[in-house]
Amino acid sequence: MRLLGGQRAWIVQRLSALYLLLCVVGGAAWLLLYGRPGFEGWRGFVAHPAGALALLLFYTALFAHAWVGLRDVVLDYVHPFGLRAGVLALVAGGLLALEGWTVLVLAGAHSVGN
Amino acid sequence: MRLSVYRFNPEAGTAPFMQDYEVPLQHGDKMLLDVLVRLKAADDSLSFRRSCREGICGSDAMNINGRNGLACITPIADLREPVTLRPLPGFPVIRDLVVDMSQFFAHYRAVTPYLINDDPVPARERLQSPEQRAELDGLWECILCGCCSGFCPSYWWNPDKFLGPAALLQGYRFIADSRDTATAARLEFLDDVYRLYRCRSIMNCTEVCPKHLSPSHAIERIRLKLTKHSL
Repeated sequence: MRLLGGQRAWIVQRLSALYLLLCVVGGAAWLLLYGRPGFEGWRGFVAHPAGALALLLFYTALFAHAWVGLRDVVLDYVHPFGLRAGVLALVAGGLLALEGWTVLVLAGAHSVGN
Repeated sequence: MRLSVYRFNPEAGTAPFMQDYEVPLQHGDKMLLDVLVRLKAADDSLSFRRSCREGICGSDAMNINGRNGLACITPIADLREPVTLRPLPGFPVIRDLVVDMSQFFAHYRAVTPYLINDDPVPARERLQSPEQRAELDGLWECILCGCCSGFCPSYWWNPDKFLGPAALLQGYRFIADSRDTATAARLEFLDDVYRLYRCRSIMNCTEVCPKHLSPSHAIERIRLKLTKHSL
């Protein structure tokens, strides 16, 4: 697998989609079976290491999936090199910032839970 | 039959326009190409390609009522009038319905569409089992008409970098060939964000292929081969 080939992104896109699908279907099934968890239920879920890890993986998969999709749109439609590099940098920076924010939120919730 | 035909003559220096025609049908006219040949006799300034008139050479590929196809195997009975004829989308127009296919064939050449095998030549032919030969069905029949690539938005956006469904189908034809020994090099060439991975599997190529082939399926098989190859 080449670093700058197309296969890596293609695999990331499919694996992240699979995880997101499992989370959405599993989450919907859980809500149907057990009803709304309420504030305390959500806080307990996020405070538990497994819950926090599952949520972190969910958002990481979401941002990775979004990166591949947005990168594809940029590669298709934005052709001038400088503009393309700028837009890609903006998208990457934005998604990394969102990932960092997610980590902060989850870490904060975990420390409050403890 | 009423026709609305894309006209463009770069030597005239005028913008492209649609010209309306009324072509009287005669006994024996079955396919759109029959009408075009009759039209050409009436207006010899109209340019289009055609050769075998039986869906083998792929010369008369064009956009017919918004859908790419071969004029010679498109029954006129199935066409809504006025029949709108345009050149293949995404290809530079040389004149009227004639497009420049230089880039298309450059992509075809890029996939080295021939058997590569440096092993000593056997006394008789390189044998294949019936199962190995069956792997090539649905691939070798491609006539390179360009209908698929001309109906692929990814090819429209990056015609110079994305190889397009036709070239990728031809590439897979040799990847799938049990006699070919250059599979690794072929896969490495295709592992590129543009050459192969601009494809989004929207399957327009499969939808319009006049030979009922599935370039989209071939592209998916290349991706799976690449994945297996890298593990």
